[in-house]
Amino acid sequence: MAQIELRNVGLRYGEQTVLSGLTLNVEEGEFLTLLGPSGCGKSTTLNLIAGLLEPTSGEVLIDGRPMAGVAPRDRRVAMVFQDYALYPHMTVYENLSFPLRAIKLSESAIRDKIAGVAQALAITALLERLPKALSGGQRQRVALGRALVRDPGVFLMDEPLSNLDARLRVAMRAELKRLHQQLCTTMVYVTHDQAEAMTLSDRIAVLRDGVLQQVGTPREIYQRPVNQFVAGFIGSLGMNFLTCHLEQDPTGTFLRQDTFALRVPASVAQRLVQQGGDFVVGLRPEHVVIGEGVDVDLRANVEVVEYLGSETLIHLRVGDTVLVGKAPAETLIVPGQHVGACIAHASACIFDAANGGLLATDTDGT
Amino acid sequence: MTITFSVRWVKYSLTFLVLAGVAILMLTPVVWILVTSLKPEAEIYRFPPQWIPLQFTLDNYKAVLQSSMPMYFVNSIVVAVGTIVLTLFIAMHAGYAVSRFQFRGKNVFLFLLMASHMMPGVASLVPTYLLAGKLGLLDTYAVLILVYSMWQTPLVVWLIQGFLESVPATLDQAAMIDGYSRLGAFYRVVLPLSKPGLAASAIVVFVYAWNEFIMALTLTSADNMRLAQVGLKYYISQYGIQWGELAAAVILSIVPVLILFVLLQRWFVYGLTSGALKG
Repeated sequence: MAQIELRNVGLRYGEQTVLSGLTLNVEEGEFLTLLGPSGCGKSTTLNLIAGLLEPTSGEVLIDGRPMAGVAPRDRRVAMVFQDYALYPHMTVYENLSFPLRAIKLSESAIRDKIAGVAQALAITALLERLPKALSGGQRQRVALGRALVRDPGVFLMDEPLSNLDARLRVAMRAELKRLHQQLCTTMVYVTHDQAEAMTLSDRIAVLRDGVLQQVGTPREIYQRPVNQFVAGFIGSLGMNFLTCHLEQDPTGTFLRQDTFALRVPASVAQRLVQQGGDFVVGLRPEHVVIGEGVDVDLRANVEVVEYLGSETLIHLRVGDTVLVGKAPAETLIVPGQHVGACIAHASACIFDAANGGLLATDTDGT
Repeated sequence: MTITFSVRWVKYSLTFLVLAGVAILMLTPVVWILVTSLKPEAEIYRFPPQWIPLQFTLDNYKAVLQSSMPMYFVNSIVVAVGTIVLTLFIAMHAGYAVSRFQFRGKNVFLFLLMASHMMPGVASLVPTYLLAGKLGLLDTYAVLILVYSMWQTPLVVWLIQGFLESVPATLDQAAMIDGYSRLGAFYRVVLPLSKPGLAASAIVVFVYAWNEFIMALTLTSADNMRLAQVGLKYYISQYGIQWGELAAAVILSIVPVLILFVLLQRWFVYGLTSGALKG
């Protein structure tokens, strides 16, 4: 196990900044996921840790040791590449033994290690095959096996599941989770799939345009996103955003747009009044419950109904915004219908409309 | 359906005819030389010429094998193999650098590399001779190997670079993380996957070194250092041309090139990198 520290790391190619001022710690045995859209710098960060790239500013430390000038082979890291990077002219056995031969392990030790890893990953029957004779899932296992045989201090994984079909991806996701629980090795995982990040990680680091947006546990990131970008990126459906203005009347303070109104607790209201301007209310679809018999906070027209099997997504027209909410699977709501919705006020996030930063979550009054 | 079939049949027939025509055009001189090499002298001068000789003989081959030609062949093989080794050694490293690293002036460098190859070889003949003389390299294998390698390296860098670029960079990165240096990754992973490129380059270099005449004639004068292509010239003298022996020597000189093609044929396997990446 190893601990990784990135201190104010930056990378530039000429005039183009790929990564700037990234400071991040990965604790021993932690599963940290770098999450963000394509081109946000997450794979670059992984390559910087691996030593395939050198930062133009800042430093990378592994176990407190600065890594400047340290070759990838001397960093005790193993990497699983997005495209697997199996050596096509070598059999699976030769692929697995390749890193062990580099450290001049005896033939019998190599055999034993490979047998153990092959059994754990259920690839024993594939050892004599060439990579071209393997399916995508099998290649992925071999790539994982090649990383495992080395007993590295850190596993670096660059979107290792992105080329698998949906069913296999879910299966491999669980397998990775089990593997991490078993090995307790530090893992840095890169993905743009928020579901992978949420299910696998101890902590998630969200990146955008080479800048770190937020680091936290999946729960923190989901419930208290620091800005609209993180809020919109996390969650399979993203967050609903409604631009609202502040209104005060004798019954209280509200953030309002069209038929939508969110009552703001007094402690939060005071701050919002002081700040002034418009605000954005963020609501996750599961916090907009649609159906008859609920305490109705909002009435709106249904635009689209999406049946998902376990539940139904309902798109409501609220002023110039579409609000996605959820209804039970058996709902009979149809497009064009005027329905009521219940808003889980306690789960709403309030963002600054000017810069997208989080101002408050409704319940905590912070 | 019948019309489609007929159109396709006509298309295939036309393609076949054109290709057959080109093949005949290319092979006719070779066949004619082979036939000539098997004719006795009287048959060679017969008019109209006979495609199938009335009398076959191996005397021309015997005469060639008893002359200095076998020694010239050995010299040619030493020079050609030496040129292949030196050229490929330099070009594969240079090609790897060009294919993997971005550096200032890379495109200019590549252009100059190719531009140097466009200069007529004869232009550098006299300076090369003088330089070789000063270095005491005249009448040595070394001078021919050096000059031929210098001449072929730019072309081979271009050729090999294309093959190296087809090997995904993540493979060398994976090898570097797996415990090898960059050169180690290059030798163990990238190079084995570039065998078709190396084979093609080896043949290009061999054919050049095997056929080059002017430099070989100028830089060597001792009989024991002559190359085969210069030796062929000895069959053409002021007293006439020994057609039979010349044809036999030409046929024999084709043999090493054919052998090299056969030996390297198994390297010309496309799709060596299949299975490396997702797919």
